[in-house]
Amino acid sequence: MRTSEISALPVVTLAGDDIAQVKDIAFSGNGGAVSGFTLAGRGRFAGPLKTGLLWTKVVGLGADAVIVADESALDPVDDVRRAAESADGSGASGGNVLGDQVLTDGGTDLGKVVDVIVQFDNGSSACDVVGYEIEASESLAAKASNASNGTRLLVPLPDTLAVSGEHLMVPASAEGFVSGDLAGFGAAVSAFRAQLDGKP
Amino acid sequence: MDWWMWLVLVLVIAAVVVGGLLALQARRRRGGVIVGGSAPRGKRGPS
Repeated sequence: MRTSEISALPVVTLAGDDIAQVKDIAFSGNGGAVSGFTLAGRGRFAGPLKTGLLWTKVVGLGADAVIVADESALDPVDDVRRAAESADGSGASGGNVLGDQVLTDGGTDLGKVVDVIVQFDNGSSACDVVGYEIEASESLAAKASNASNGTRLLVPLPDTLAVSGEHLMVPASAEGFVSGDLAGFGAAVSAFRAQLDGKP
Repeated sequence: MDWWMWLVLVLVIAAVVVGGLLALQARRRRGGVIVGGSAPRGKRGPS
């Protein structure tokens, strides 16, 4: 699922009350686990809220709403940000990754992030960032079939992300697993991670 | 100045003010994907 499909979703309680809407998706730079969401009020003139929603409090996430048990599921927004900080602090830089440049560890520019892909299973405890959707750079477009400069492509990510300043680093081998199709992207992520782990 | 020129001037100023406020509000509500959860990097950080 793309994070752009989650942003602006209403947060609804099991009683049917519409209590907020998703603003930002926060994830850990070390491991890519989604920690939760910052929230905005409902209605055109409502601004950002001081409460956030931890992923552990989410009962269900679908195409049309985020479901929580009740209003007490909301926590201070700082708790969401704190939960997203890396355990060892090495991966965290803070800030919005949309618009950041993706570079391989071989120094090749792959393009700019236009969306982030998350994988989750309602009922399981984890929601992970597994890829970036990028606007392909000239060099990546030249290598990918049926792609031109600016074509949107999906880049799989390793388990541990590297985020520094305004550059997002990925292993050079990720270029070989770039995909244009979200339906087959899960398989590309699994194959990429298996290759990094040295599995056949 | 004729009265209708004043009217046009007031309408243009009102449109600019309302448009600016709506744009500001849309910017405040716009979502993002924040990594690490620490302080935003400014230009595109969450508000």
